[in-house]
Amino acid sequence: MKRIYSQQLNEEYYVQDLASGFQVILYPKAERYNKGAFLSVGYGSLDQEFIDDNGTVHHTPPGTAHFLEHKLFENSSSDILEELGRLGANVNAFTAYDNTCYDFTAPDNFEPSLELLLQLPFRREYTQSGVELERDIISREIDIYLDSVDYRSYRNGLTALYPHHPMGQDIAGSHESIKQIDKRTLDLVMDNFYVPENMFLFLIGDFQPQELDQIVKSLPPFYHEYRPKARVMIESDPSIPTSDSLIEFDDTPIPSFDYLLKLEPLDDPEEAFQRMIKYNLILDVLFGKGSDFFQANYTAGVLSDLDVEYHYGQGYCYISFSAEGKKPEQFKLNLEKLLAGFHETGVSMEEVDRIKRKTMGRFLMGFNSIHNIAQTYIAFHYLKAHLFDYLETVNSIVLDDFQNLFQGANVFSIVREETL
Amino acid sequence: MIKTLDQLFKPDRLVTRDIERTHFKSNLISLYFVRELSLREAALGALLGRILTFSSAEYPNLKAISDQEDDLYGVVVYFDLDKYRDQLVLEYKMIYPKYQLLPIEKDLTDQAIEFYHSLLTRPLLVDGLFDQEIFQMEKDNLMEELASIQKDPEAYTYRQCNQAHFASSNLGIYKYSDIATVRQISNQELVAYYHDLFDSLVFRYRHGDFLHHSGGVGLRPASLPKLDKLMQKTHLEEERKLNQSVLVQAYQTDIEHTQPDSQAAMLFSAILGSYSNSVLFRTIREQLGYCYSIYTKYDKYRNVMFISVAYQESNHEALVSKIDQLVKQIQAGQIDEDDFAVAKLETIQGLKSLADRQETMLDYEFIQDLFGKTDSIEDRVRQLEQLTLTDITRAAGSFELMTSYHLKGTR
Repeated sequence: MKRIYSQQLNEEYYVQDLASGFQVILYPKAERYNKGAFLSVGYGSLDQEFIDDNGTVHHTPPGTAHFLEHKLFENSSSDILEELGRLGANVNAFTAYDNTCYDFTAPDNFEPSLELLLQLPFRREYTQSGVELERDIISREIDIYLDSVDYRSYRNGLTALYPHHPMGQDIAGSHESIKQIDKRTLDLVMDNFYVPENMFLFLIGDFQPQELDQIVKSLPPFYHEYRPKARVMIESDPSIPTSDSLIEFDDTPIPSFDYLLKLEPLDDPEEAFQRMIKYNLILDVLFGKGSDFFQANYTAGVLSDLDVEYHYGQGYCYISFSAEGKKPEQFKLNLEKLLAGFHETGVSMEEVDRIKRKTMGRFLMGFNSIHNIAQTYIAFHYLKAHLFDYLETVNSIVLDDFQNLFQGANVFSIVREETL
Repeated sequence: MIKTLDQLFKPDRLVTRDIERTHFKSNLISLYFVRELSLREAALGALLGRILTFSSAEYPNLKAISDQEDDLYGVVVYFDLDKYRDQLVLEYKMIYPKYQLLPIEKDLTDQAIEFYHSLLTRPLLVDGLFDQEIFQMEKDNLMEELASIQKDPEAYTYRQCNQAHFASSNLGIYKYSDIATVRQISNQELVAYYHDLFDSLVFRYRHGDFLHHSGGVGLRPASLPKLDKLMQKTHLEEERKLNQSVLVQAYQTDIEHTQPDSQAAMLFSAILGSYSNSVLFRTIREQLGYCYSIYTKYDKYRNVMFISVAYQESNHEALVSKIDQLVKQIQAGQIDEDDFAVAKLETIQGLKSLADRQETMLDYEFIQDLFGKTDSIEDRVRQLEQLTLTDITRAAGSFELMTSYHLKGTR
């Protein structure tokens, strides 16, 4: 058992590695009513093409990871979701680009709830008829997204930016793609990805460190047995969108728009993580609520809301500038002007230090919430970064080169009324 | 510093409470200004909150405010509004890190509270009015935000159903009012409202590194009248180019939040649709595949339960009929023992979990004080544990569908 401690945060957690490759992390958090268990699987919506242990190449339809997340709770006698509910556990599951997570929180009945959660990867009692019914439910979920103006603007842009990369498809897939998913598809990905080596269990709450040993000993045999995992094939997509402007008309009172800027992905995880922090600091200075850009565009009535995010993962890297406001074209002009001149203006270290102060305080306050700690740990795990190293990395970042930071293919997507 | 803040308000109109919880990484301070709910009050409150957090005498623009928040290591200061029965509550909150946990030499707590204080008490005024440009800009942006609700079909339908259900009273008013009322607000009116705010009934609460303390508890707003029962049913329909339809139904009850049956009514709502494997979820979604989500929301202070669902229009008749059938089954006492036990357990767990978040705990304490309740979370848990199936059936029988809003998707 390994202890990881942060003096600065006065937080600690314990890690136990199993020979099978499975890992259990215990994060003691005193004086919380709830305990949480998060079973994370390194298989997400991007993992559509892969080579299994025998060298066979497989292609699965977009939306498979999300579909499986829905179906994993099905059980021949009673749904595992129902069983967890009977114990009073608050259950959740989510599919991300690079992982799927099944979790619950509960103030009581933690052990029996954990026992049920841990059965998910090997019980596999979903049926073909259950898969058929789930297709209807997921279709309704997709409809919800399609009825969202903000979502469509963003999705249209991302699909244009990544036509040859799974980022171009939605996590839930499409009405067409989910028709191709059947029980065999789900079995295939279970065999290849729901294996101990590709999973870990994160436990958080009012635990004693010595409880970790007992938890590991009581794990079902499945978690102690090694099984090979498949190798995912994702190529980067350097293509340039055929059109840099997309307009969809809809009956919406205020236009939604997204400017997406494609950057070259980096292979080295440490370098990629540091680059993310560097960009986040710069983007906060340039586009945060306290930035000149935001204030000027807000007061001029160009936009009423702006959300800027840096995204990266296997084979992709982009910045999204998502906004709502009355003057989308003006926003694009103002944004491009700022980005084009940035290599000369840069940002001042005074501004960057201010953002570092904010980051430090907000990161500390994030340790109030067991959900936030778990989600950050999981996200960092797949970026091959460590939770307690974050602040040190932020503080060590030096910004001295502002060349070529915002050069890349881009697309501007708008959804607005036709009469505008 | 906190005394300076308390001195802003009339001593006989001020309730204070400090909740000692030392294991969080932050402290939370909140002011709740209690006002009588009306369209005008909601519009004024919403606009004032925007203006006070956009500029002040010392921090004349958004950048200055944001920079100070950053310099104070990411403090978060915000205004919001909430409604409880016929009361409108302006909430002004600040969450700030415990500075002793940061690798800095100085404790910035006093500076943080001074910042919080200054945004509230020293607004940017020009000749006794709010800066006219800022006033107009925030008014336009508030109207834009109100128009934007249409972008979210479920939120929009919920708002429409609310307004229709409480058409004869103020209880259905949206917390940020409506565009027409916001449009009419003048700068003079807003300044007068701002000054008047300090004479409100005010609750000043803190959560974190503070010794337990309470003062003025027992003060309450004047108006909490008994609600009139609706006599007429209303069913409204609107067409929009959407992939899905949305239906929101409002069921009224005559159970008051002060009655013991209020807990049973809450459990009825939970059994029907407010936990992850409720009767509606299991039947409408899991068995019939009509929707992705369906849920109930019980508002004990307004004697109403809402059912909300998005679905394909072709299933409309079957969906409405199935919901009706499931509600009637429970009203007839056909409640699965398991459903009852699970709903009870989930409700109890939900109550216990309130203490895991600073904001929810503080809001819980405030609502208890606002309505003059003295039962603790443990008391509430005990009351829930004692409820029987007979209690639930009796409470369920008091609910009647009165209003529905059907947003018909035509795409």
